[in-house]
Amino acid sequence: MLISDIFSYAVNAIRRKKTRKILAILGVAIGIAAIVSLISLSQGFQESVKTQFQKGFAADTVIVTTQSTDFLETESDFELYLNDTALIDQIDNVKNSVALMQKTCFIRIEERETSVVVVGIDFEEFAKIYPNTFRAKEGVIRNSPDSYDVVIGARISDPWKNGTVFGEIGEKIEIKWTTRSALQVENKTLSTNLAAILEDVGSASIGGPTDNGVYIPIETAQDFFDTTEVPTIVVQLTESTEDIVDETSKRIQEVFGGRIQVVTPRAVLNAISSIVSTIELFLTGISAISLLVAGVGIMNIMLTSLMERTREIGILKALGMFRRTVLAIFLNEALIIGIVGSTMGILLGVALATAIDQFGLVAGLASGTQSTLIGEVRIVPVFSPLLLGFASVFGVIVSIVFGLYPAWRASRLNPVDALRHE
Amino acid sequence: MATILKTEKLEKSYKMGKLQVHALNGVDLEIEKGEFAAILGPSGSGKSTLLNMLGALDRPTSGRIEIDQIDISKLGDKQLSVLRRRIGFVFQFFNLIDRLNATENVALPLAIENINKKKRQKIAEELLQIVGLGKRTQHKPSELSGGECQRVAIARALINKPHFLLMDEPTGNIDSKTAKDLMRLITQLNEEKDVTIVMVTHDTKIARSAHRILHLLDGKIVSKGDY
Repeated sequence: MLISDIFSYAVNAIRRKKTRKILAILGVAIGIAAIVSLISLSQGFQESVKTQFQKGFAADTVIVTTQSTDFLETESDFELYLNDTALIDQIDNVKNSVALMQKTCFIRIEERETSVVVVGIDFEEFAKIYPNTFRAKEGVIRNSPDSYDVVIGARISDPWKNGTVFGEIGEKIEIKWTTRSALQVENKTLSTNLAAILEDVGSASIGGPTDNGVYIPIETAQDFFDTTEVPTIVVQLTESTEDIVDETSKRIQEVFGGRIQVVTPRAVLNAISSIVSTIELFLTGISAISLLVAGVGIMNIMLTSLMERTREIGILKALGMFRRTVLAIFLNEALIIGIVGSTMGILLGVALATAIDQFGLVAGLASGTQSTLIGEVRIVPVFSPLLLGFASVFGVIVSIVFGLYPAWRASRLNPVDALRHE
Repeated sequence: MATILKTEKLEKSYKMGKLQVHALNGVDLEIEKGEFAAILGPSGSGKSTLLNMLGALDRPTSGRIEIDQIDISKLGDKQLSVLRRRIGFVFQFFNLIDRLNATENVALPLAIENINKKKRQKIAEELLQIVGLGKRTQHKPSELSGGECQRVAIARALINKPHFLLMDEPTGNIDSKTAKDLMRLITQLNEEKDVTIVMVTHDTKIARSAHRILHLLDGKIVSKGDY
């Protein structure tokens, strides 16, 4: 049989049995779409953990805090003060330290009022420790700022990432804080000028700047909050080797009689990594199941649509068609179904994963758990050529294998036996 | 006259569940070129089984089949395929491909032999004209009557200029008036186009159109008196 005839015979078979073939193509497409969307999201998740987490982390820092880092521990009643940085600076291997005065306040930018954590810091020192993330996208972060300067994270100015921007450089931002002295409740308002908007950190950060942070000079914070007590001190070390970090952490604990917590980014990273690898395992499992389900689905539809054509194969053989020509016809059909189905599946999968990213199902989930210490994690699906290639090859191969198997079986029968098949 | 088809001690048995069925018990027959032979027998006598053997659609359990003096029991799958292209087979249930129209169905054996589309469609249409379906070339089997389908099947069987035509109850699925017309066509093909025909039927009236009637009973050719 001529190749053109084999091809047109196969196309004819697909066109004339539309419903069944569309179902077969849909079966392949859905399977492939499941593979593409799930694996691209899970790869995106791995990618975001790899790049975004590490970007916000400074391995040469440790965080000294009075806050409990463990749910089971009781809150320490020990207090850290601003000038404790001088004490820490004296310890070996400590290069620098910055106190973070954190208070939960309301801020008002234009019409939007929202609850945030306001952080009082020394801009110059903080920028030295986090040169990559404490950096202005708009405006300037001055080393010796005006006392009313305020620096805000990228998500404070553009909270929904859709260009609805709050706050222009130089605009007034009100910070409202409620305190109590003796029996009196006092509402205080600090009027500040927006000096700078930070670049997108994009993700998590421990101790360093986050996209949801609001930063004011430490002196201003000291006056406004009327205290020198600080919950957190970020300490920069001379080296980032594990030995130095551990040894220095131990020394800092000794200095404070073990009444404070010393958190190392590496420990946090390890904790996150172990969660991440569990989730990864879970996602890999889902991908494997989707592969299996897709495979079985494709197999099922190809088997049933070919079983009923055993009789046709009998006719073709009775008319003198070679076995390999019969197989070539069915191979062609399976190939067309596989290629069309895989292509549709890839488009569908890319659309699905992009939609999940765009409508923020995953991002929404992650931002629900955001805090000042760890920012938002965004999962952007990764459509690697390898994944797309694999998905289409998988779709085509499964279609061929399960499309060809019944045809192969029928073609080996005596024409009489194939003809008898109902 | 030359012998075109010959069987010797042809036997066929197969298993039906646990039962061993002997469909053919040593059939000896010879068909001459240009002959129109009818094999007559009640249902279950092994007629169709015999015809399938003669058409190389099935293999015998033992015995010999010679087509044009060639023993076909020694042929492989590929050689059998080539052989089938020179045998015109007409089935009781037509065995047309539903998706294809009359012309495409008739032209299918030529497509298998790599004849280009234009040429094979022309030949197919001529043949449809001969079997009286010149006006229904674009119809699909589902749009044709039983008699018309059988004419399409006959045209398909003739398109390769076969050595002989095998017909399995060609009138089995059509009404008696249409059957009469069809038998006229078949007789005409034999007389005017010199086509060798072996036809299987259980209908004595239909069998009477043939030059020679062979009686088959319980898988054996018997003389008329025994029948």
